[in-house]
Amino acid sequence: MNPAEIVQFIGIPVAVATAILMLSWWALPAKHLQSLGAIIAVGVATLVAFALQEGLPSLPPTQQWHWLVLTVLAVFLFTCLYPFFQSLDNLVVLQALIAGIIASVFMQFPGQDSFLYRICILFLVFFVSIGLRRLKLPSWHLYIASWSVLACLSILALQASFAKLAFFAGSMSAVAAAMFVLQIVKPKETKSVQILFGVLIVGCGMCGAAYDPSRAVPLFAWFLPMAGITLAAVVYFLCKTKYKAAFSIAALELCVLFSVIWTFLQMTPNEEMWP
Amino acid sequence: MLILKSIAVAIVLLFSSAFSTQESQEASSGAFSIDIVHSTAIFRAHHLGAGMFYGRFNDVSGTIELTEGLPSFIVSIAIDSVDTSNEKLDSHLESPDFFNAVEFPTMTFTSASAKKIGDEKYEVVGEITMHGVTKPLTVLMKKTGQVTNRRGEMVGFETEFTLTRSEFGMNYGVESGALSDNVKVIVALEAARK
Repeated sequence: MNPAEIVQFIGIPVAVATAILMLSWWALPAKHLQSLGAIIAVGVATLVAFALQEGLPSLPPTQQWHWLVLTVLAVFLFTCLYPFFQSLDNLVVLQALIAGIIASVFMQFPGQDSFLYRICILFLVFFVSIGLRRLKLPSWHLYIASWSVLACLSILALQASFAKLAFFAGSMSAVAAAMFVLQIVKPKETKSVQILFGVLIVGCGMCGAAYDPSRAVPLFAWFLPMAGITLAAVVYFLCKTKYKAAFSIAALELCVLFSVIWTFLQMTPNEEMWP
Repeated sequence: MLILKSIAVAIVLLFSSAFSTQESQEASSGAFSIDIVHSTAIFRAHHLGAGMFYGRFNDVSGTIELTEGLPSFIVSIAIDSVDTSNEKLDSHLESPDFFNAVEFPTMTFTSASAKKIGDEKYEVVGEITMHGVTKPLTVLMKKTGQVTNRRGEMVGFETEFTLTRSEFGMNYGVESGALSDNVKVIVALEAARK
């Protein structure tokens, strides 16, 4: 990857998300609408990151992996409505369930169209979304977890020789990193954003597994980071120390690292491919 | 006596001529099954604007039909038989970045018509389907031989043409110049009578 490609595939989505989020600080000052800025930032950045690789998605898509971005966009539309219904703000579980149902209907990767897979997608989106942001978890937790898990999936996709998915997951990881920094600089409401990142994470994982028939990446490596998100949330609630947020992130990072290291250990030395 | 001898020679010549015509018609008509082992599809792309990169597909199958000397083709190439002598490169070519072998496991060419344009040369018009996209394709097909030996009757054809892969939605590395958009393809077919 040369500097021009880094700017194109990662810099542009990050710039778009950052600009939208910073604009929303001024345009959407009301507390219950603050998360809308972050939702739009992630949704638009997803579309931009994908369009830079494959152009705008068509319906029905020309390739099944394009359902990934179409699913995120469908969930994005649902999530955009959510901040307007303030009374429902605390119904994280219901929101995650609806997002899971939408994802299980839209995501149609090769070999994953059976009822069992649909149920699997529903539960994964449900648990990952809830794991990313329980009500008491600090809001930056969502971004830092999404950042590391999407980065992990990007590395796995590269190892599975699926560079476009690697670029896509990598750019969304960079978007999460940028939003983490902005959240530290100026903390804002982030309700509902976890749904979009949840669908992105599950989508990238399922997509990577579907297009890796030779199992260049062990199957469990695609799903371990997702399990790590739920584990991190559990660790946070079980820990009684003041460092529980750090322990929670550490639990997630262990899963991420194990997933990446195990994949590298399973592989033959990576010879140079296309640049 | 001389008259009788002449008549006999004439009859022999007549029969031999009739037999030869029948044999020639049989040779120029019929269905042939493409021999996977002795058929090849080779492709060549420009890598980084520097060297020419070659790869091949090892599984080329299908049927050649000869009708009054004119050939028609149904050729199928298995994408997962791509061979660049580098396992990692093969995986990348099979991924959705290029051929997307999981969704589109074969590439096919089906001819619609052919006309003779020279000695053992034919202009073959048909359709190629690759990466889920079907496009018309006209190729110059050269008949490399037709023989009858201990393995039966066999026929060979060869063609060379250029594909623009972005027209088939295969755009990885085109913009960055990592791999050329135009890919030269050589297909050599050997087929045995069914």
